[in-house]
Amino acid sequence: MSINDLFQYYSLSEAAAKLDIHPFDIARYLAIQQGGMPNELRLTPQKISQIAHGMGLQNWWSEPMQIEDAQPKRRLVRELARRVFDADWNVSTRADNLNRGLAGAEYAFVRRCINVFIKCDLLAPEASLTGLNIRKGNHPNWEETMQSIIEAKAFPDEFSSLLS
Amino acid sequence: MSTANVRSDLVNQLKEVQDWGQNQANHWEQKRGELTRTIAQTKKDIAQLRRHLTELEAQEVDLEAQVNKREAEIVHRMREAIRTGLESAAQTLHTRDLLLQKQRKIRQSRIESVLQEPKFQEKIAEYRQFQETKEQLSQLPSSYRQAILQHHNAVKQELEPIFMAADQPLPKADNTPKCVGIIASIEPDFLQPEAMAVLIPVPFSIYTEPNAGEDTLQQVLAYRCVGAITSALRKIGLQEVSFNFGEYKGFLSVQVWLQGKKLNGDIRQSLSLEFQQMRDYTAELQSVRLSMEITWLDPELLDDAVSDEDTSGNDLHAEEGE
Repeated sequence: MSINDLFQYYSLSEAAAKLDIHPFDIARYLAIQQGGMPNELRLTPQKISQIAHGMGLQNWWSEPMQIEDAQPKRRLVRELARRVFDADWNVSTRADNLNRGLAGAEYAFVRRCINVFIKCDLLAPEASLTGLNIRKGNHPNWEETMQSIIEAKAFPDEFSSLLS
Repeated sequence: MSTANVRSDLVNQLKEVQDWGQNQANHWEQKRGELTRTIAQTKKDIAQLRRHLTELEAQEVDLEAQVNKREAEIVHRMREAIRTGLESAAQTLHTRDLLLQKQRKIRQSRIESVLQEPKFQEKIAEYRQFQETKEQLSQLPSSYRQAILQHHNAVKQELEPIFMAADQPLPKADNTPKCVGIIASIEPDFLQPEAMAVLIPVPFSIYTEPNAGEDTLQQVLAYRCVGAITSALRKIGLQEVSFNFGEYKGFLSVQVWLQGKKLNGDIRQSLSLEFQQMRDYTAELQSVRLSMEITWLDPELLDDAVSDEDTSGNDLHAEEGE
């Protein structure tokens, strides 16, 4: 255990890695809090927890996948659709929440999926000072379309490039 | 006097008229000659002036070409100055980063010397043990938990000199103060800006490849600049703005899309105040005697490098949220 560990100071980069978020987003968040960024960029675990809470960080992929599908890509699309369908959309959520918990190729693929959901108006982006937020889209048949994707009955045309 | 020599009035009158006619003829002949000469001279003068005008027009064209060349030369030299300025700042940041690491080590050594004092060893061991097991506290009965916390607070109090040493600000180096230049640009103007870019002399890889170690001075500067821009935008009433992080000749360019947004203040002043605060209060920068100044430049001067933007980490479809 190093001195920093013993006295519980973390750099902003370390805090970002712990929270699985880009360090620039933490900088953006801290800058608009009361008092602004600390004089020295050293963060305590308590401060890091406050940041996570304040930024509304969620790990959408902490729970195991429920959908079974022989095609891994389709499984991720359906699983993302299920998680989007079950989410509480009374408030928007950070865009990176939808990826958090994934890594590598799955992370990149789900990121592409989110873009397709946006193109289909199933999700909608909202710019903010601390990063991009996502809210429920204005698709006229949102529930039916989402259910179709989850059950793999039908996918909007925009998904064809993803699933090919 | 003989009457033979006497002329009649009629003849005299006619003679006078004849003489007058002759005089007039002479007069007009003289006038015509003068006019002809004047016209000839004027034509000659005009021809000379035309030649002169042609020469002047040629000179004008040449001058215009030289002016244009000079303007292009100024732009070229300005771009070179920007490149040199950024590279020089990057070099300064590199050397001052080494200094920052040294300053951190100085503070760490001070903490370690306090840590090694024998009187703290037992308490440090207890404190360490508490840190490692505190998650399990909630499983204990309340009375036990309270007793442990009470004891922990007592340990913390005894370790106060160590905490004080750890909380000491970074020591300040006595090196020559240095200043790095940061470039800002707004398009098309400050009254109704559509986009703003801030060029920071740190590698673009700080954005694309964030690492999880101790922050380098370049990272500190990048984080603080991103924070300063965010805070400046918020203070002029902007909430829904999308950021993009692009590359300019290997350096980080923070780009903010402002189109259609109502500004409740002067964006230059707001940003300037934030950077001033950063200069005055940032411990890492003060420790290594480093400041920064922001320079506003015409966006045309930054058009020479195609922004090789990596959008993989940028806001997803941020432009659709506008």
